Amino acid sequence: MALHNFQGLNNGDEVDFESTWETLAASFTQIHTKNASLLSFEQLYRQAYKIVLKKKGDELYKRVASFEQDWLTEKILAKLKGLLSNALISGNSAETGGQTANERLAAGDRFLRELKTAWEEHQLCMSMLTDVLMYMDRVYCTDHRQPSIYNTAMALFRDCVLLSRITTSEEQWVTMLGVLRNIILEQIKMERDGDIIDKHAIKACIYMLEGLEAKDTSNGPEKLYSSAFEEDFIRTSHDFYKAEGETLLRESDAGTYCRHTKKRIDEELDRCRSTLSDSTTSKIERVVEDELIRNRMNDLIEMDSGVKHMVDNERLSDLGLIFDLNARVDSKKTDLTKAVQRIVVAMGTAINNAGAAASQTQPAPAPETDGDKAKTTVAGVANLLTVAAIKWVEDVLELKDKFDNVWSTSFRSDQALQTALTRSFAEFINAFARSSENISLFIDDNMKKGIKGKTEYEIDVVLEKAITLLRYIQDKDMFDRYYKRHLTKRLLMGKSLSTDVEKQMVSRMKIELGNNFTLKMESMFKDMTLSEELTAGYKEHVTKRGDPDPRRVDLDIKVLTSMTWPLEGMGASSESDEDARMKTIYPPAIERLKMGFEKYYSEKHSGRKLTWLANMGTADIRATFPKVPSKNGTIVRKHELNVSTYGMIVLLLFNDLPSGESLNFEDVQSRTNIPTNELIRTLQSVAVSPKTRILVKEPMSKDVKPTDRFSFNESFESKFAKIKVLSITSGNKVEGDRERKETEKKNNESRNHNIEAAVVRIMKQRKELSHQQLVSETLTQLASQFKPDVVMIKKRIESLIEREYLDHIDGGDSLRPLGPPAVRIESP
Amino acid sequence: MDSPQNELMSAMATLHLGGKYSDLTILSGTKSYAVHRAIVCPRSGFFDGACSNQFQESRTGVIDLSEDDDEAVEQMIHYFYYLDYPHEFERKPSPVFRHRAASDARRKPLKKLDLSTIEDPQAACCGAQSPLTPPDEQPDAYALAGKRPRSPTITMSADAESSESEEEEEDLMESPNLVTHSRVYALAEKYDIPSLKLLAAQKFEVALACWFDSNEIPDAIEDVYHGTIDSDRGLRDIVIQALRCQPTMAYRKDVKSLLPEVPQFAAELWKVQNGQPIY
Repeated sequence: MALHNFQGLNNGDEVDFESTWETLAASFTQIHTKNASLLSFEQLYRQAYKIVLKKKGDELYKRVASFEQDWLTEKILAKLKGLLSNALISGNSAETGGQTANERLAAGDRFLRELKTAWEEHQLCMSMLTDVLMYMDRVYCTDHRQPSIYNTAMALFRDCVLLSRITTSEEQWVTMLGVLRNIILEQIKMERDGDIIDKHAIKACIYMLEGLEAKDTSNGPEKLYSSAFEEDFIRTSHDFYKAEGETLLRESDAGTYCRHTKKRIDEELDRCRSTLSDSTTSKIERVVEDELIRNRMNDLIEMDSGVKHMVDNERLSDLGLIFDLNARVDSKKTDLTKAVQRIVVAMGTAINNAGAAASQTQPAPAPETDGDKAKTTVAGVANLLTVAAIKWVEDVLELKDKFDNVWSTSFRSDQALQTALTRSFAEFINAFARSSENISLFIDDNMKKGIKGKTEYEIDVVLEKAITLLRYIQDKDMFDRYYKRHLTKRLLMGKSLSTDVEKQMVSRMKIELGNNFTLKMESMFKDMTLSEELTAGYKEHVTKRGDPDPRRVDLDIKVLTSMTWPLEGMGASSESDEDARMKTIYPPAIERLKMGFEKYYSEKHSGRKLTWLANMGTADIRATFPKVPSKNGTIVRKHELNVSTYGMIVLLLFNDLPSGESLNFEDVQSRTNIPTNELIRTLQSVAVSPKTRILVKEPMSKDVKPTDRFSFNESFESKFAKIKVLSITSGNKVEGDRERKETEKKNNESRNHNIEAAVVRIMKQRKELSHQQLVSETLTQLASQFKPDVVMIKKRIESLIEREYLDHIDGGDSLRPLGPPAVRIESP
Repeated sequence: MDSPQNELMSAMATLHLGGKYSDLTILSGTKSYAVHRAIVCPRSGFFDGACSNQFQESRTGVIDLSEDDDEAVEQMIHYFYYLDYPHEFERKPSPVFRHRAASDARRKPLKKLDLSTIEDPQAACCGAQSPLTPPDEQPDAYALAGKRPRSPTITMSADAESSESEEEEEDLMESPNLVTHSRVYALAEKYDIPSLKLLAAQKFEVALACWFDSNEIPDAIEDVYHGTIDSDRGLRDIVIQALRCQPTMAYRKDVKSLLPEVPQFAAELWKVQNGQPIY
């Protein structure tokens, strides 16, 4: 009975299902044909609910799916197929025959729009169906682990529409998806070539592809978009940009190339936003970067219109573009850095070569054809060399300015490039042997002339430039040597325009190179101040003594601390310098003065010894020349002569000489004891120089020979009341090769001391160290002063061992210091 | 003052009673309810679907639920506004919004007038319900609503309706309402209102425990087993649990007579009696 009842119920349901389904199917058709507003949602919902309640959910689900499948195949697919021409299907623009690009574009657009509409309507209808079948989704699909009817319907759209095959010829077919892909790719290519396309239609189709899974078995979130479109898009883009890169490199200059590349990247990013998918952004960016930048960077830099050309022609914005491109693909900017370094070194080497060429002119003056002429040439050459040295510095500074500008404007003040630039500048500056000397000469020149009439700010700029160059110098000790020598001359000869600026410079160096570096320079300034006080003090002392001798000689004295000042390089460079200086015979008046001051000085500072450096001094003499007749009658000609101390001594000899008598060279030398070469120079300045011929030399020639005779030039004439007798050696000039070797030798000696001091310092601290470690640590310690030669260090260590300051530990490789005060090490 | 929650609940009650801003009508049998899409649709997949698509309902703004049990529909709508059912007025719902009651001068005399006119017929009911509270405003609200076209319109006269609802009220209080709960439960399942489903199940469980000897039980069991899809265990488990606690229930004549009609129940009862698990 119960069983019967149950079956009967079931049979009733069966009938019920069919008729209910009929109603539902009819309604679904209405929904698909946009007539839903006539349908009652409640009714449909209730019918679907009842079917599921009677456990017919499975059947309902299948019927709906099959309904959708039929609908898609019969209505949608057929409609879309009708829009396809053979040309669109083949996707090959070569086969278009008479079809123009515009027609093709229009046909593609139509297809895209139709597909878009079909997809959107399908989505809309299915969302309505899903609401009607909500209970089925909620109960049946959840319980039976079926995908929701909506997802199933979307997959059906993919399978029935997109993946449907379209036969092109007997054995060939393409899918609708393939056609879609080709149309989109072709339109993108058109857009790249400058055509305008319907971005919205494409975007909608891309949305569709993005919304669909590639496969039903959703293993991973792979969307139809990435499997069916993106790969091909990336591949064709590779080809496109590869070809474009080649053409561009061949046909345009680097600036255009950069601008074009930038434009392309922007375009592609924009395309991803407006036409394709954001997920492709990074991939397509990578493609353009690879094809137009990464693979072409070198070619681009090396082009005729590449980086070199841009630097030469100040194409700052183009350089900026190249920088941006390189930075985009390489955070280190390796290619650009290398190129720029090459250019800097090349340009720097050119400056070096020009500098070297200028210094090569020195031996050039022809062998003495005419004695007189040859002399002036030598002096001229020395001047020329100085000019060349300063020109070198100015060229380097100009180069530096140029690249600073490039760096800040084009290279966006990039840290890595700054480091590279610094390294390259240091490289070529240090490759130039005279860089230290030249920089010091540059400062010297500025201190003497350059800063005249400049504002404080301008002076600041000059000083800063000098310091900038100084930073590049590796062998700072060489610079120190030159700078001190040049500074000494400036201070002693009063050539400096401003002591304030000098002090500023020193304090800048102090900041840059440390206290030790400027210690001696500072005490030089101190000596100068003390000397002024001494001079004033002495003058007062003399006045107090009340000796109103009108013929009294005024004394302006500079007392120099012997270790502080680089006196060995001053004037004469012979070894007998010291002796000669001692013996110089001063005229009685001067001798009295000298004694007077020595007495005054020893009263103030006992236990100090004064050495007189006549070669450094100058003297002002008032000279009276015999009356000569002139148009206005006879006048007494008085001139004030400014001569070197030696010059004064020589001239005073002739004071006592009766008119018309002469002295020969040896006479002069024996009466004054002035060192030979100093004397020659002095006599040249007072007897040979055309404007200051106070003495007459016989025979009249450029060179001073021991046999020459000198007499007072009674007929001396000059328009000026004050006459400066130029000393041949005055002023700071480029060293000659011989002097230079001398300087280097001295420098090496002091380096030896420095190395030994460093070694001993290190060993005292570390007690025991292997030879290798000791060498490397010494190198580090000395790096701030100069770059020592390893061989030199090894020699010094050997020497220290020899002198028993260091010792090998048990004959091994390690070293240790020997008891106080000495130290020892270990060596190979 | 009222807490924010109370304020909201009171406003909801006012919306329910006054039907102001109503933009959807639910028909159920002879009754018509003016409800609000903003309140109804977010709570129920069915109403959401009906209103959001281009079906007839969204065009006309009328949903006809006459196919469903009209009492269950009424409880469902009540639930939408009060988060509970059946009608139990713990608070005095105001016929107008709180701020209007205080500020709208035109409305006040009207209210007074209404109160005075309907005071007499309601006095008895009010006294019966709770002698300590002042006259309940609910009937007042109904009366007021009856005169306004947008409030829940009742096809019969206002008086008759109000008295009917009062009877129902008493009815619900004094009977287990097992059938009502099971029907609300089925309706909540059908229209996808999960929390109402839960609430109905709780009420059903309590009622079944208190009224295990009620003569409503056979009808309720039949409803439970036929009202929802077999796989829905909610009320079925409650029934089985009650049978385990009160085995004697199964031997009642009226329950026994159910067995041929409801085969699923028979099978599960057999399993319970033989100590076997249901699933």
